[in-house]
Amino acid sequence: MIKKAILWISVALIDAILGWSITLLFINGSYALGIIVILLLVFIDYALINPKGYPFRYMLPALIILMILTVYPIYFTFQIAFENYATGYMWTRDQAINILLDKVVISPNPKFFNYSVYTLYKDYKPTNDFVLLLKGPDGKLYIASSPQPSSAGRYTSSFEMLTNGSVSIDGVNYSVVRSLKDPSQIIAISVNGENYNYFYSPSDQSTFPNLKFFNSNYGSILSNTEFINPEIGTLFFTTTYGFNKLVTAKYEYTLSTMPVVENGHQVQKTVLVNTITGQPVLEHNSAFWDVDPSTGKQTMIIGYYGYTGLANFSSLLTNKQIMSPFLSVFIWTFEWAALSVVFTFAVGLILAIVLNNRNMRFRTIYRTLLIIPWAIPGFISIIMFRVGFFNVSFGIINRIFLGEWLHLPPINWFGDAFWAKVALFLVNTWLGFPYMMVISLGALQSIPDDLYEAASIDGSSRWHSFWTITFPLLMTPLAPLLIASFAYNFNNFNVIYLLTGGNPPIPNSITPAGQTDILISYTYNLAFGGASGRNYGLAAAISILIFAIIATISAINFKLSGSFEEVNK
Amino acid sequence: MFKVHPIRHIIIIAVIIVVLFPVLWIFTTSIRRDNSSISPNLFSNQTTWQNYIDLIFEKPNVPLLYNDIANIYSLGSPYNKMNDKEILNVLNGDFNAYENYFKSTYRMSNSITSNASWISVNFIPKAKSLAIENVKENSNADLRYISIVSSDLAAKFNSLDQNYKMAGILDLLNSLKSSPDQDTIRIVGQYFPEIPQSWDNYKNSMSKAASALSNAPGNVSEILLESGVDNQMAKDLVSAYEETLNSLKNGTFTYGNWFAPIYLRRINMDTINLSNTIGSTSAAKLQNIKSMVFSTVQNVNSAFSSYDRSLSDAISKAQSSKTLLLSTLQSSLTVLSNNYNQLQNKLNTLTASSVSYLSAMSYDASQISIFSNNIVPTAMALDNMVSLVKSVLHQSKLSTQSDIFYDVSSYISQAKDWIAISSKYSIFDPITEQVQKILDDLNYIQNNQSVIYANLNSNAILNVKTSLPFVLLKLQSGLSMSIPVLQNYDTNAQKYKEASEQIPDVRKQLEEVSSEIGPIQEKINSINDKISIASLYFETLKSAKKIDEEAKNINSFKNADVFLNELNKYYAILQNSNIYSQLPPMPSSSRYDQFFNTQKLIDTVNLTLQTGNNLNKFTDEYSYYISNLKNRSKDYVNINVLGFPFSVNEINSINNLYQNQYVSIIGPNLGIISRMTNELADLPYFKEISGKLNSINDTSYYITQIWMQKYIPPLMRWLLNSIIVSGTAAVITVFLSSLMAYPFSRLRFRGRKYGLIGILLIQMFPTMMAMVALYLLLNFIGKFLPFLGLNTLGGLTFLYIGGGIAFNSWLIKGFFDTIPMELEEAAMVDGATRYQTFWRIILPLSAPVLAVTMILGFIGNYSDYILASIVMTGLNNYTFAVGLQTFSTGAYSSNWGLMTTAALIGMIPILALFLSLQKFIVGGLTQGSVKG
Repeated sequence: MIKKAILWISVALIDAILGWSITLLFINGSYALGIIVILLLVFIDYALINPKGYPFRYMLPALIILMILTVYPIYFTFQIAFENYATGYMWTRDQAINILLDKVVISPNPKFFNYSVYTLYKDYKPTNDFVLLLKGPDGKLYIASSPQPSSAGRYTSSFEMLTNGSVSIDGVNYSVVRSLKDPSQIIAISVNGENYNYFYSPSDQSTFPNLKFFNSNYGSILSNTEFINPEIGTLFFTTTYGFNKLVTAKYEYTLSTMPVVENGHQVQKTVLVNTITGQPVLEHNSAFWDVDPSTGKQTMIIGYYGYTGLANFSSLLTNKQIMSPFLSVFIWTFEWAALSVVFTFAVGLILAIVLNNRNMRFRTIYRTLLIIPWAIPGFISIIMFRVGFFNVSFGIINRIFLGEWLHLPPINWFGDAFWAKVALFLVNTWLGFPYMMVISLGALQSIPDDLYEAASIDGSSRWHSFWTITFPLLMTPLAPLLIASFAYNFNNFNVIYLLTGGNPPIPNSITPAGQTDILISYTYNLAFGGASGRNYGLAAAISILIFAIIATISAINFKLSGSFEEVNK
Repeated sequence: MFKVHPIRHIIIIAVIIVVLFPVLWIFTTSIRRDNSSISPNLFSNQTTWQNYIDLIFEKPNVPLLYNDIANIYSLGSPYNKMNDKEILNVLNGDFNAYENYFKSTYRMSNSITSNASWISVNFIPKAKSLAIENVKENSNADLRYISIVSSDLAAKFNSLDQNYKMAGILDLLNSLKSSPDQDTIRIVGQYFPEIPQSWDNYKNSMSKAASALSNAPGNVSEILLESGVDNQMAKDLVSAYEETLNSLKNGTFTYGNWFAPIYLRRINMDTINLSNTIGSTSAAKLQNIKSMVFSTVQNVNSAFSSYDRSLSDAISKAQSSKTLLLSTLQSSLTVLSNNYNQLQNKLNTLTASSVSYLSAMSYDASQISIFSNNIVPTAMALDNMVSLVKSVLHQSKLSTQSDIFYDVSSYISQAKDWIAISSKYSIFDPITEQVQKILDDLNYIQNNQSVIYANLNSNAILNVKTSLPFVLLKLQSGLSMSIPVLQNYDTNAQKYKEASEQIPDVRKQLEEVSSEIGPIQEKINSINDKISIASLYFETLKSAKKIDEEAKNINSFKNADVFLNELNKYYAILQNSNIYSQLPPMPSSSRYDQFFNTQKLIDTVNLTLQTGNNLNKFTDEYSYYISNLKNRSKDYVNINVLGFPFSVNEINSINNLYQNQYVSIIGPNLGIISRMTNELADLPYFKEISGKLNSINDTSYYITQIWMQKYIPPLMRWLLNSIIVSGTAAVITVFLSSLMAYPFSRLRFRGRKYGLIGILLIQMFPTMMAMVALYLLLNFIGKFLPFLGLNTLGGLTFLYIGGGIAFNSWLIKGFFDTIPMELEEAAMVDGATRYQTFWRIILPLSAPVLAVTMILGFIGNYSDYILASIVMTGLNNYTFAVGLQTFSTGAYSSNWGLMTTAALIGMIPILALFLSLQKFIVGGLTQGSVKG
């Protein structure tokens, strides 16, 4: 009974939490993640309530994490592979519209208003309650009410001209308090009887000690405030004039409903309108465009991302400037993975054969010492190799081995494609041969000795019996491991990224591709590389390609190692 | 099966040495004291654990303390969130640390000073005398070498003609002209005896004059005193006499030198002026002295002039010898080269003009081809007409009358003129052919005038008669307009021909001239070579003489230095000469190393004393500022905390002091001292003080460790971050994975097969590929659950868990499969539930395997660089992998000591873990991967 109660309570609790997060996700517009969590919710309820779902109760925690951190990212990657998500197109359409609506443009004949801030003090400390005294270009004084939040992150304030030292805005009375000694000085503003003290003005040095407080408490509000007066128009703080003045300005774009010709029909539609030219903003090619009414010329204002179909994949095949570096990266990736396996396996196997003798003294010590490169975290060794060994001017290979000892000219390790590849293979062989040595040793020990005895009785040479007995017998257990190693090196990001960084670059490429970049590092450059912008869409498309290749290789491997039979057990 | 051959051991050991070399390098570099990234040596014997101390204990040295207090006074993070008491506590801690550093600086500075002064008092005198002995001993070899070279040169010199000798002495004579030198005069005297004679004469006359005039200044001042004149003018007069006398005594009196005329003029003027103010007898006395002095000086002067004249004579004689040797050759060379230049100019003009004629010709030819459009049709039409006429005449009889059909004689002459020119040039052949045809046709008409006329009744001829004028008109225009162009072409062609004919001729002449120039140049060179031998002979003679003299008095350190200097000069002369390669090999210059090293030792000791002194002063001043700050810290901090802008000037003063004193003077000097003492301590002859030198070396290194600008990143924090994140993620991953693996291994249910395939597929997708999504996901989650957001340890742990579950579930399922079912069945018969069998039986049985999986997961997470570098952006949140990158890029990438130390600290835990659990890890990895 108690068990049941606990079960139901936990079901209710989980449902409540997940329900809350689903709502949050949908509010934030992450529909895909929301649907995944709904699926999870259904699954959890099924597993907990239905006795048939008992096996799934074990899996639930892992499954939740898998769904969020593995399945969703895979889904996301698949999704953006079909989108134009890239530098210049980083916003959703709604975000782009909001950015445009936030844009402020200074009027053609701007009027400037000086201002001073009056603050309500409480316990001798300034509060966040303040009003503004404005001084127009003609010397007239205005009072601006305390900014009130209007929409997300925006504030409005109305301002009115002072007449006889007082004014009423929205039913609140404001009057100025002048200094008795110097009546030109307004020392406070009385708002419904409470005095707001003179606090800060950018033209009065004596108030500068308050600047810090002003910047941290009022600055973010004021920079998002629209000051409205029916006669004068709207005033803004603009970044162009720092924070020293208010200027007549307006929002560059507004939403308005107007007739638009669409597919040959005239329809009423809400569109963005440029308030300066009065022209509606056009929308095509995943971007908004301003139209110059006199010439009809279009200029792109902002782009947004969205579904573009197979554009990313087709650009890999048709756009020459993308295709040719991609092809060279693609080919090198296979070369790299294959040769890495060959080199590491060759060195590992030779050492294993030398070590494979039970009578050898110090055998375990030798083996332990030879494993050390494997036991050191790869990134440490790679960084040491890059900085200490292969650096063109400081590295000890160029500086000491070649320079001081052999008196040879230095090698341009990372500027010359050939030498960069040599460096990569040297380092990767160093890193990878211990693994190969260990698995070869294991496989060698499982070969029974009597086979060799029989062969030597038949008069077979040692070399001959290696190729006819040892090697074939080795390959049976090792083939899946070698294929796995191929797959591992296919995606061996660390060595490439930390050693050469893909350098030297491929000339005339519009994507950030290097001559030693493999697919995964190339993808990384596309998605996170700096100078030439980010192209998530193309990166995701290549990711899917890599996924397909790795899946194929692994499928072959599973077939070889019999993993699929295990699934069916 | 195989015998264990020693060669196997050798192979393996060789491989191990190569393979482990990078590890050895990392270790040795981490304990090096020198700057390994620029040192020419792979290893160094100067070691220190300082890098380890810095990185592990992160104890700030003086500049870092300074940064801290500067940060406190400007209320930077994290001090802007502290109250005044906390800040004061931190400050006091800093001040105490400062005090300790000051104390140890004083101690160490005194230590190097006392060591240096001990060396300077007790060792340097000995070292000096040893060095002098060394120089004396070694100098014999040099003197021998010099005598060999001298005799060699002398032999060469003696075989030369007199003229060469004279030419060779010219340099020496010229050097005399600018500065008289006793040795040089003696050498020159062998060839120009009148020079030393007149020089001696000049010297004698000066000493005579000096003794004759020795009383003059005294007499003059007496006379003036008697006359009661004691003004400035009087003093000037006396001192003018004195100066004159002095220059005579010193032997430097020359009328040409700047002071002589000035003093003599003053004597003259002042004597006249003073004579007016004093009595006439005194004035007469003064005048007497003056005239005596003037006449004496006149003698000296004339002696000098005779010396100068003899020198000038010698120079002109030497010069004339040189001219004699070279002048004829030189002048013929000048003539030839003038000639050569003229020819070259001519060739250039010819080539240029022939090119311009050619271009004019081609222009004309193209004009003619335009006119051919007029001429060719005419030729064809005329031809047709004449054939018409011929066909008619063929049938008719000859006429005897002399009637004219149509007079074409003027056209004939034109055509003839045309052909006369055009036939000369094959380029016009096609047109010439046509004009020739025209001419033939016209001649035919002209010759058969009467016959044609007789057949005028024929229609054909009548037709011809009407159209002939038109054809002829066209012909006329074509020929008459083209003839001037043709003529122009002709003249140009003539000129071109003339010019181009000349060119080979001029070329030939040029070659001749240049072949004449070569031998002359060679002759001049060989003469110059001989002259330079002569002049080398004289130069070395002079230098060798000096060396001989200096070699005799190598009795003090300074003289030894002078001697070595002269020796150097001598070798430099030889090395710069063009017969250097023919000379016997010079004795090696390293023989005087002991001397030079002693010199270095003296310099180093002096520098050490001076630096110790500077350091003490600098520390005094620095500690003065700090004690001021300490006294005022409470007030300063309070004003700051109250929010008033307040700048602390002491901070700037300290920085200025540090930059001006330490960074630009003391620091570099300590570096020099360290390097020099290290070099000197190894020398055998300084063995006695090597202990002291090493102590100075070590101490100055530790002083710099206190004072130099250092980069001490929070490495331990990074390491801890890595361990926390990797460990937590590994434990949670293995736990969740074994939960997930259990039903797949033990239970049969719907969806099992697809679940397994799904897991297989998912673990193939590289986590890295999903980075964009993961980044955005963490960003999103962080808004609601801050501890899982970007730049948090929780967030990174979360990602690692997500990345490891699929793979580990598959792996652990494989382990579970190997545990026999019977165990569980037995337990369940006893009444255990499913969950209990999992918790009580399966988990404990597979604990070792799970532990290995956990450790492998830990190592995997620890080694991740890329996810961590994207998620962790704050310096304090870096993992070790991201942190290590900061050592290898940017400004600190050449600080290899720090970098390798960090690398070693980071690799040791993993290395130890891996090697101690080798058996399990290797087994787990290989078998696990064979299975999955």
